[in-house]
Amino acid sequence: MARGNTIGLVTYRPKTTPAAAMHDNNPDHLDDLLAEWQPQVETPPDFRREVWRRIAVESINPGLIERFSWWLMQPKREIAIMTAAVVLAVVWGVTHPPKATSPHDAYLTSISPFDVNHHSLGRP
Amino acid sequence: MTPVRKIIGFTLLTALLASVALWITRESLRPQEPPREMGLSWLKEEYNLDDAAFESVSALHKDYFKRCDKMCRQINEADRPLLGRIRQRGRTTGERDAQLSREQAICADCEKAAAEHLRQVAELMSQEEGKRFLNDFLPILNEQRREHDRRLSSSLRR
Repeated sequence: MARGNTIGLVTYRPKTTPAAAMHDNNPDHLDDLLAEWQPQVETPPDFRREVWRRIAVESINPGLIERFSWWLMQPKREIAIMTAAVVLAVVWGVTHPPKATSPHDAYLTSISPFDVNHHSLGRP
Repeated sequence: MTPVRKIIGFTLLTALLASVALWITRESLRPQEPPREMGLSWLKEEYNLDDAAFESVSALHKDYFKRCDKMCRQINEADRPLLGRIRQRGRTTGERDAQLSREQAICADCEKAAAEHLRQVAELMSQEEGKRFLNDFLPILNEQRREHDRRLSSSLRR
């Protein structure tokens, strides 16, 4: 089992040792080079603290949409808004019923084979 | 989920619920009486038919509706090959003229049957009401036939 090298937060574990790679059927020199490569990355000591600080700043000052979304997405408010929309739709439907066909037009539709609505009458 | 997506999703869901509620409300308020029954009831009131005359008129209509359904199927079958540009492709002028002549003959029979039916109904009314009834419906029947022919011609010209 190959042991990993840890540099700062980065740990690198080569798949195979260079010696093992030499015994593969298709030895690849790139594997050897990658195994020898040790990235020189140094993270500042307060790196983690800085990340959390930035997250905290974003949480404290949400945008207008975030604030509206938070205000809206309360379960009680959602239910109230949906109920109001349904009630309004029912009230509008009752006050604006579908236009009723006049009896004169209904009779004409029933007897005239050339009336545009006539052909739907005889269908089962 | 982002706040914008939450708001859009909530708005769409609310609009869908409101639309369904509106549709159900309006459909439940739509008159349920079939047009034929509604038309006959109106005829009795409008042209002052007594019960005996109304019974005869209803029997006449019952018989006419059966013939009418058959004629309508014939008109539909004759119209179908003539309507629509795709259906005209690959047809010779001779074939199209033959179809058009057949369609016109069927329409003439239907118009004649409808006019004859109206005259029979008028005879069951008082003379004055019968005349008013024919004056009300014969011109509309003729106009609808002309409109039907215009639609057909415009489809053939396309």
